[in-house]
Amino acid sequence: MNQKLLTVAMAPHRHSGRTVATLIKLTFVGLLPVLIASLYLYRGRAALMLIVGLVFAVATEAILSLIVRKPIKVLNGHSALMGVLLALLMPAGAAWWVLAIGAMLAVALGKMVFGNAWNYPFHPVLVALVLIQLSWPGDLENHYKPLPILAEQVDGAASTWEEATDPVAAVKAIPVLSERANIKELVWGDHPGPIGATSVIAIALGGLFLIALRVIPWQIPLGFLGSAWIFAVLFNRLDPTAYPTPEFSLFAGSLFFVAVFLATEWVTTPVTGWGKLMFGIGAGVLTLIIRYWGQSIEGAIFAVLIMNAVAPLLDRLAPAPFGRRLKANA
Amino acid sequence: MRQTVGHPAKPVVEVGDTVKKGQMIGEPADPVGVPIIATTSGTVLAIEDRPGPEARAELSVVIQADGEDAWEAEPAVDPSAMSLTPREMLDRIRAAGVINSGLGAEPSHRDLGTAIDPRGYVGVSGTPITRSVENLIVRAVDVDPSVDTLEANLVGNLDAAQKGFEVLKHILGATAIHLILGGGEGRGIQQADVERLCDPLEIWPVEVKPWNYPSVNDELLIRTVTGMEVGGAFHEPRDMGVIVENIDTVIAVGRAVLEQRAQIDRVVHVSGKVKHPKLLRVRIGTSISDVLAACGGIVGEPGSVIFGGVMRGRAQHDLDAPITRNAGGLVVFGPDEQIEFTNEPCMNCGACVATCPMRLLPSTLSKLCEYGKFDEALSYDLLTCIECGCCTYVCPSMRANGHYLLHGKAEVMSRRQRT
Repeated sequence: MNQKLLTVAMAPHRHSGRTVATLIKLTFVGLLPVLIASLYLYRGRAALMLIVGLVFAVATEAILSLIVRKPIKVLNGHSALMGVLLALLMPAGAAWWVLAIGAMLAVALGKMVFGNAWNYPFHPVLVALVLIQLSWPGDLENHYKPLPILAEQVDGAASTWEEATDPVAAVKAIPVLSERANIKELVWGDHPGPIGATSVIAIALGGLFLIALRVIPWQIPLGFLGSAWIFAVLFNRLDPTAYPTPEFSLFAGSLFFVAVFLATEWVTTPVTGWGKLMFGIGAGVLTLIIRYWGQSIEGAIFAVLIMNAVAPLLDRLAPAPFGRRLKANA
Repeated sequence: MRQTVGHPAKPVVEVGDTVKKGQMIGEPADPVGVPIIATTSGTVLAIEDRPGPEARAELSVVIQADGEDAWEAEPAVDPSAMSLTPREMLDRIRAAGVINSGLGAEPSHRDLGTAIDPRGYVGVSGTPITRSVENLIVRAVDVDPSVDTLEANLVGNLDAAQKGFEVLKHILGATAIHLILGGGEGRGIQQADVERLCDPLEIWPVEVKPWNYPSVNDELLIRTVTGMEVGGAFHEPRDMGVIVENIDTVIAVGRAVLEQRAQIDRVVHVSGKVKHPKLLRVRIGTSISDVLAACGGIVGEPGSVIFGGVMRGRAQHDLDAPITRNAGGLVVFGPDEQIEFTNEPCMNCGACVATCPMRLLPSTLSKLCEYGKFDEALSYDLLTCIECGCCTYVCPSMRANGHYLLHGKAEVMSRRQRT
């Protein structure tokens, strides 16, 4: 009889080693280019906002976990990610306390009320953004002119920020203005907007990294951007005076950032490949519908929230299991 | 006494009896079973419950080997064997105790009897159904990535394998035989040997990508070879004229029919934390601790010992359990190599859905099975699961998805038997 006790477990006896914490860490790595871009464009302003978002989100989860006496899981980094994502979606001119309240709402109302167990139906960051938009709409329109990336002369770090109008809002009022938008500026991020969402190049870099490592599914960004592109081209062809150019629709505002970093969130999206693709397509089309004909200036937030609600239905787009098709033939 | 499906066999020897190698010591209790055969000569020490490989005690015949290792009847080549009818061949296969070397442990005489025996059920008209077998797929690559025994067995027994293929062709009348070989660098068998084996019998060698678990599972092999998706909950492969066997079975069948030689050993791949990891030809019934001792013993503290492969094998609680015919891997892990499946809540990421070779929704299924909603799980095709363990392997929430699915399947099956 063997004296040493042996561990008995079910198969399999190995694991890929990829845990939730790994996925969140990798997402932060994917966010790095965006963080760098936002820090370049808005300097101390961006740094302040990122820190406020992160600290308040993490603190909220820790305190709420203590109150309800649940294990504190802040170390998996999820609340930190939520706080940073929310900060990246705020314009540079927003008051810091608005962002702080938003971060607290995102964690408390967005995920903690659902048990902190990956059960929330809507993306916490988007929930917080909607609440901010309802409560302090002015702060979401308070844009600053970013430090130029492309222009030759950099007049030192500006001590005071120059207020600017959001190009998305301007184009919404007069769509033809979109033809005057400099595509190069849009792609590099050299235009007013949410601090992290303007630099399309940085977002694309991070997104490609995450897709290559299969942290986020490729179906959602592809469906989102693809359908938005087709939709925008279609309407721009129909009436160029009433609808902005497709380049502008895709690269301005938060659409690109939301498509890559928020619509691809795991918990609130379908699990099947086709479901994910449909999710992306639906969100892309809805974004532009809201932008073109809706009340709100920015559409991506609401579009993704609506698709979040539909996600459980999209899970029914499951492929036929192995062997089922043959039965139909026989 | 329980080595295959159905009821355990009945011992036919008594304590104190002298037994010879190849002698029947357990009589099958039903037509499904195969006789249990002594794998060496010696005296019967005890007939009692001993730890079995499936974590439960099994009635066992304990034989004190006398070291002579004498056969009851020396196997000899029977020149007239090839003129036997398929029925007589199947009887010889059964008498030799040949069972499938996969985890299913189906007795080979039943598996191969498809072409002449009716299946368990009868057709709507009441006539027993027999099927002709068009495709015989023989696997010389182990299913589990940590085990490598089948190819070694083939390399060492090319002639026996050739005889086995002849016999199988005779029994099944299969029109196409496919031999699955590993491709790439790690392959142990020479191309010349493959040609020598395959060409005279018109066997088609098929190369599969190595280390591509679970691509050599029965269901996936059938798809690779025939393009049909056969298996899962919807049909048995033999209903579609396909049979998948391991090369072990082919070799054992050849010996059983031509030499009336019983299946008394198998190749075991010992790996992990042992002093000399190696391939061993082990008598069936040898205790796991003896096999490990033959490899120089465990290095350091043992954490867990897994019989079978890392993806599908069973962790043993007692090293006195015997090596059985149906698994060929022995992996030793240290205490620091244990994986703890913490069963965090599912985060809906879809990694399991993307990896499932059966295109199921393991996340949904595991949640349903966790909360006992087996009927709903059935509507999500629970029974199609092949228990490969991939969904557990990739789960970021460290959920034991495969375990839940297994639990659900067992529960559904036992409910069906009750009604």
